[in-house]
Amino acid sequence: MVLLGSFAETDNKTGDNALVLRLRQGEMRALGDLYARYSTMVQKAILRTMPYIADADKEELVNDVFLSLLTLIKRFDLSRAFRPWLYGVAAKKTLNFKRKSGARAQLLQQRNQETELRLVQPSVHERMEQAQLLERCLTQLPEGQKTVLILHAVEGFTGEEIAEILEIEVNTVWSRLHRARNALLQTLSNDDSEEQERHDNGL
Amino acid sequence: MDCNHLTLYLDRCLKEKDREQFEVHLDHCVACRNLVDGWHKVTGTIKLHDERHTTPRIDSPSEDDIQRLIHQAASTRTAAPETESPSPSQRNRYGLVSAAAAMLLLGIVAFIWWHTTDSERSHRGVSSPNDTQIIATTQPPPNFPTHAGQPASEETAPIPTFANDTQTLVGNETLQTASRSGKCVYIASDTVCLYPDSRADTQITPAAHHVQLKAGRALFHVTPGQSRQFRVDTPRGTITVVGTRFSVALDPSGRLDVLVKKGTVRVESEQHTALLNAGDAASVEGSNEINTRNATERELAMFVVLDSHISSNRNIDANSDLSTPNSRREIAASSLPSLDVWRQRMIQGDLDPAIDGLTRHWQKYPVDTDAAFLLATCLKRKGLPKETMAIYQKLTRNSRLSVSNRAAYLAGDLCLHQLHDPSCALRYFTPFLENSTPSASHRAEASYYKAEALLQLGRKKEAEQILQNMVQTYGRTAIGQRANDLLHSMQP
Repeated sequence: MVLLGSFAETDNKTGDNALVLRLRQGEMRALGDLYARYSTMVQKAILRTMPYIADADKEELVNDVFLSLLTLIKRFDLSRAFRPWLYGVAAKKTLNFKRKSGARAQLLQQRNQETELRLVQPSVHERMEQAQLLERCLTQLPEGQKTVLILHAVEGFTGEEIAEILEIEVNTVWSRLHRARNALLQTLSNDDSEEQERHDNGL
Repeated sequence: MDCNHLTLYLDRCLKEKDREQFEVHLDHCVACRNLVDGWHKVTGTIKLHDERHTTPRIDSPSEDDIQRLIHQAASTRTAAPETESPSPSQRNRYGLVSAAAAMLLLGIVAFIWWHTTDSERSHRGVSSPNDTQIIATTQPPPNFPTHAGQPASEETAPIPTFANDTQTLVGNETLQTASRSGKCVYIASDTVCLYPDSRADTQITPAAHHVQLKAGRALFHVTPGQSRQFRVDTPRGTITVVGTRFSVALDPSGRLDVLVKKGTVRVESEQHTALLNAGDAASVEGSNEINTRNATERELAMFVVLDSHISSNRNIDANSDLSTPNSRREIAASSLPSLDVWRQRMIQGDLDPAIDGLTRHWQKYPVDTDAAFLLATCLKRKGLPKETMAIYQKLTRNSRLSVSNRAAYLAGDLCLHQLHDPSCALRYFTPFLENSTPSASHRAEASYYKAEALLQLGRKKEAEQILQNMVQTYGRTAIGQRANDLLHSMQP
């Protein structure tokens, strides 16, 4: 049986808290350690929130997020997990940046989603692979559902953590997740029955 | 435990005991098991989808980045401990205005701070406009030791301000720094940071870089593997370098201090010679005898200054055009045209104008590797793998690790999946996996592709080993599953 929740969060928690405490005391090396540990996650948070951000802007945002920890770290609650908190900081910073960079970026993104859809369309003769089918369904999900899904399935955050990151109600998190899940499982079962049909028809 | 708990199970909201019980239920209930298996398929796809969209653009954190961040953080903290640092990533007009206002405010605060705390320090008559700008934009210089023998009395890093506009030296020049600001210069691929109140002469020839330190202190970074000599002359002795990072300080009393961060240097006074390794310090006083000792951590902390300048000099090899900046961030400041237009064209499918525009852009700004990657993507979409390959090949030789890594990965991918040339793919993936520091998911993908390439070449044993390692390391993730599947399909 595949384990669903095998995330080593609790192991990291003590280490994170030690770094947070050192940073609060003004030890800059602790910031460097946090950077080494989490810059990949922060970059992911940025790219997920704003997929078509320029590389230069991304680099600056990453720096920005870590420098802002100097002041924000005071507000962090040590009884909580650090990883989702930092993710939230990064996501909010990116959202701010996105708003400021205005309509142009939004247009670009919208256009891009359309192309993405086109790219996962199969060519006329081949039957869509199951994975492709799922991916297409995924790109068609509303943005809110997709974000919740990724935070839950890929990052392994809990419902409460996701609610805090996205600043929405916990119930909203669950309802979005369930809706997304139903849609995807539906796609899967449709595909399976089609497969069965083809099999039965001797294709 | 029954089917009603399925949702809670998938939400990971069951306590450990309940989860185990539910897993027992799963062994009996086909309907639930099918749904759980289906859900795993879905999460696998989600992970892959997410990886494909994020991983290619993720830079793994390098030691240079970390040092730069620490340096930046230290200066932010000393400059304005109570205010939040203004966000540098504001591009629009309002952002600029508010950033300028914040800068001005910071500058005033820093200026007042400077005047009140350092009133005992003698103010030399004139300060160049450059000087004031530095105080306004960065931080007031904290106290720093006049020579290495006296550690700083304060806890904060004893690092003075250094000008940001690094100049590149090509001929013989005399360098002099004012009382408040240091200066860094590049001599080909070597970097020299001169502390405030220092003076040095340089003599530069292709065969030797020669610095005569007349007074004060300087930090040096000398790139290894050069045939030329690097030498620092002081009235007290000569320091010769192979490839290293070190500091030389001359006291007003005539005492010479040498600190070595990396590599080896030779110190020669009139009668004596000493070899210093990384972490060693030496001083030469009146008797011309060389006293060696271990450098303290605090003394070595000053090399932070050098680090941030080296990282921008790294791209410059001895013979290249010395004036090129190397990262898009640096040139972004000097108004580099945005790539969004071309990216948009590419997305719309107008490949030819995008290729045309990007080629011109890249020719004009050869340092803008983002443009090169975008151009390669356009060419790939147009179905020109050979031309795409040429670009990746060029980028793999780029000295920025994040660029060359990304190029190597993409080149290997292209060889394997579009050119169908497994030996070419191996040429890229093998060094990629061995030498560089790619991110975990990149590494996983590359290992998988390498195994595929080996299989196509008929080197089953090696492929098998890689796949087994992958199954062990990545076990239950999507890529681990793929490796497992491939491994099983190999067995007859």
